[in-house]
Amino acid sequence: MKTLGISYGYHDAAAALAIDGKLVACSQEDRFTRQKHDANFPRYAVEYCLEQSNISLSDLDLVVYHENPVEKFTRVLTSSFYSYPYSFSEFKNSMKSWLTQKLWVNNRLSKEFKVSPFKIKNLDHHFSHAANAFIGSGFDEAGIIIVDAVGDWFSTVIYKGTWQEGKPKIEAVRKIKFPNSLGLFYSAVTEYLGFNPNDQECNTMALAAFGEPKFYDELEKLVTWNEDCSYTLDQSFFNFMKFYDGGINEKFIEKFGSAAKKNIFNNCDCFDPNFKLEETTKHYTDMAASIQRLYEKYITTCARFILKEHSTNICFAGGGALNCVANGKLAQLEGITNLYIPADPGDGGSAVGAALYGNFMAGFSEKDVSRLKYPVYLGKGYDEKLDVASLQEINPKELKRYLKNSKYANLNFFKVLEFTDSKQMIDKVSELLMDKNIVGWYQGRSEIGPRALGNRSILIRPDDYQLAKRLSTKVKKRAAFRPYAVSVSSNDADKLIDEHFIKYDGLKKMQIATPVKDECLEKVKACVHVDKSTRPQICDEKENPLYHELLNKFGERFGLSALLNTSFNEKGFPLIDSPLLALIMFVRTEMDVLVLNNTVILKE
Amino acid sequence: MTSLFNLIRYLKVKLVVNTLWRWSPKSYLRSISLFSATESDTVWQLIHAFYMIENPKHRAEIFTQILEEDFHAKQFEDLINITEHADNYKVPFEEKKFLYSKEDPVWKLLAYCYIGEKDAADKFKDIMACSHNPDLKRTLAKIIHDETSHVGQANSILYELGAKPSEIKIELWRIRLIRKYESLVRNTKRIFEVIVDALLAIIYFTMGLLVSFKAKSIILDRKNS
Repeated sequence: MKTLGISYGYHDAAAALAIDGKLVACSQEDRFTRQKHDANFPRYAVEYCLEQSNISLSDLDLVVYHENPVEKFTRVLTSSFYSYPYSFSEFKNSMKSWLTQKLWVNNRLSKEFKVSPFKIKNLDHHFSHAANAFIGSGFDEAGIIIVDAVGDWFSTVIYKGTWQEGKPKIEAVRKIKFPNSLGLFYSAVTEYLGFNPNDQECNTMALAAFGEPKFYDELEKLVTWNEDCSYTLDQSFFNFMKFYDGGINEKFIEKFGSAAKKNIFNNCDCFDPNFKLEETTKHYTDMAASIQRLYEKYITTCARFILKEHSTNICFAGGGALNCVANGKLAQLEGITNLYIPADPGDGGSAVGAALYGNFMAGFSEKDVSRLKYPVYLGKGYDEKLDVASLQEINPKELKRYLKNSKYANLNFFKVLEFTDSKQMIDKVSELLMDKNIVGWYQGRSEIGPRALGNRSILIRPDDYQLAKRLSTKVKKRAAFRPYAVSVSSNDADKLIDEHFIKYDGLKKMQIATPVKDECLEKVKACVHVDKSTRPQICDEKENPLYHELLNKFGERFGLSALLNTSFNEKGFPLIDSPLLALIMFVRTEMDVLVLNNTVILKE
Repeated sequence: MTSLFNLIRYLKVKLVVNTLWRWSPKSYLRSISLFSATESDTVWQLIHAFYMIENPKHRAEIFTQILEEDFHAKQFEDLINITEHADNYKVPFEEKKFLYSKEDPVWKLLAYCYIGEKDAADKFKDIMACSHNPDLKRTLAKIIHDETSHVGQANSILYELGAKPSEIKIELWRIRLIRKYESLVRNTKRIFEVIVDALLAIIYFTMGLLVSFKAKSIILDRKNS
């Protein structure tokens, strides 16, 4: 059975291909279009999935779209008429895109893929997330928490997942209806802090560590909790029906003060141990800490409900599962046997859910459910030879304008070292990392989801604040309040983090923030946040042998097999896809070394 | 004929820069965002061209051009980023589609880029002549300088890639016609959008009152459940 899962139309368009229960290829469209969170039809992601598996469109048994456009349309229409007669611009903008494109998704899929409309199926938005989480977990049974801003008509759905005759049975046990949405509440506070809602929630999460939850009680008063883990939000503080105009309203501003001004957080620096928070900034970091605490409370409440009524295995997905600090709190709960968070828990991952569930819709069944777990390196891979050859033809003087205020202002040439043996290459790279170089690390097929897990990563040694700061300002161009993550070899994981966390699969995918053991704090201080936590990736040999070897080799020199690992991209761009994009970033930033498969390039 | 087109373009630019941009900063920022998006699209098309060429020398030339175009996109973006809530003014991402297929010779794509560069340079020159914004003028001056040199560079690659002069000439004319047609479609679409807006306004304000009662009851029911 061959099924293609598709998600697009809101953000993070993606395609995934499953063959007989095995996920064989998956990619977000933005990797190919360089438009971060690209929501457009995933033409190139589909092309890649088919090419990778060497099949054509006519071989597909089903094409499954991740949500139900008619359901969603009724919600959009209802929301826009709710504020009548003050919602004309909302109505106009949404109707233009819905009536011309979004409502006719199935027609478009049928036309683009030249397949009969009967071969196009739809799942509910949250169900796609749940299918991704449950089928990919390999659990026999589980409780599934899906939290995001809003799906078709719901913001949170809790499911119970079981298997019957080799097919997944995923049933909703609790549904929280829009406009009650803690996801939207979190996004609204993100907007209050001056960031883009639905994109920069990670900033709110990062800033929370700088503050204290002083506004927690006041924020909690806006929520009425029910015993069955449902809740209602006091909508008089929000603008969820007219999100185009912003998620918060005058009443919210009156209660909590004016929204943050641009660049107010520039003084928050997690690489400066002597850093002091300014009073004006403190108000906003406290707001971030308060909403973070509220969100954590909710997620743990949902988990307790599942533990009490349904299962000790928990799967968690939806945009809310990208909050690794809340995931960390979840992982600390007593009584959880297994916790699974997919590599891409967001809308990109719902294409995976659609593809996997599509296999079963098309008649596939599987007795050994552990076989359905899928690896994370399912994106596209490239050969780098021709790209490197073209770099050698470039006159570095032509690049001066990009490097004029950097340490490479007088760049003379690129030194290319080609290795036939990966062991020698790893030895060289670990030496360069020890010598405080910023290394772009590009290997094989790319990771699915937003986290760089050792195939599209930028690496530095983990104990140097200055180097981390240079990485933030001269390479990544990102705010200093955002901490970095750490990759640690499975051999040394217990030295860095508590044994309790190591059992969770989420740590292989950098999805759970954990405290760092005191004895290791100094060794990894550049990837520890101000609250002494980090977001570790435990790399084992089976998952990524080359990266595992690099970590161990570096560990021989450094004393701990750990590296600071951040995604291979610049601010505003998605994770890089091809060697050419890696080269572009390498030549125009202060990255010192670029490793493209077995080729090492240095700036001289 | 060409000079008539140039005159019309200049007058259009003057009208936009001196009236629309002056009175509506939002419109100015949206236009700048559109310029940035156009430069980014050129980058994207060139990335495609890069992988269609095998000669490392030509690839290197495309590589440096990609860097420059990306730099231009960033320069335009910086003009927007200095404002509060800059992201509100950025144009949404368009659906990407390669201009030429894998089967087409790569010089055709480069010819398209060449015409695009030339048109952009001409348009930016007109804006520079009309604008009183020093930041914008500074940015445009840099970009015009680069674009002009790209035109010469692209022209020489076309010949090096083995295209015959007559073929290039025909292709350039074809592209110019396509671009004129595309511009016509864009303008027609804008007029059509005004009509659609008017129709939607009629629907909203006439039927809205009735529908809004139903919408309110649905949402109230959901709020409290």
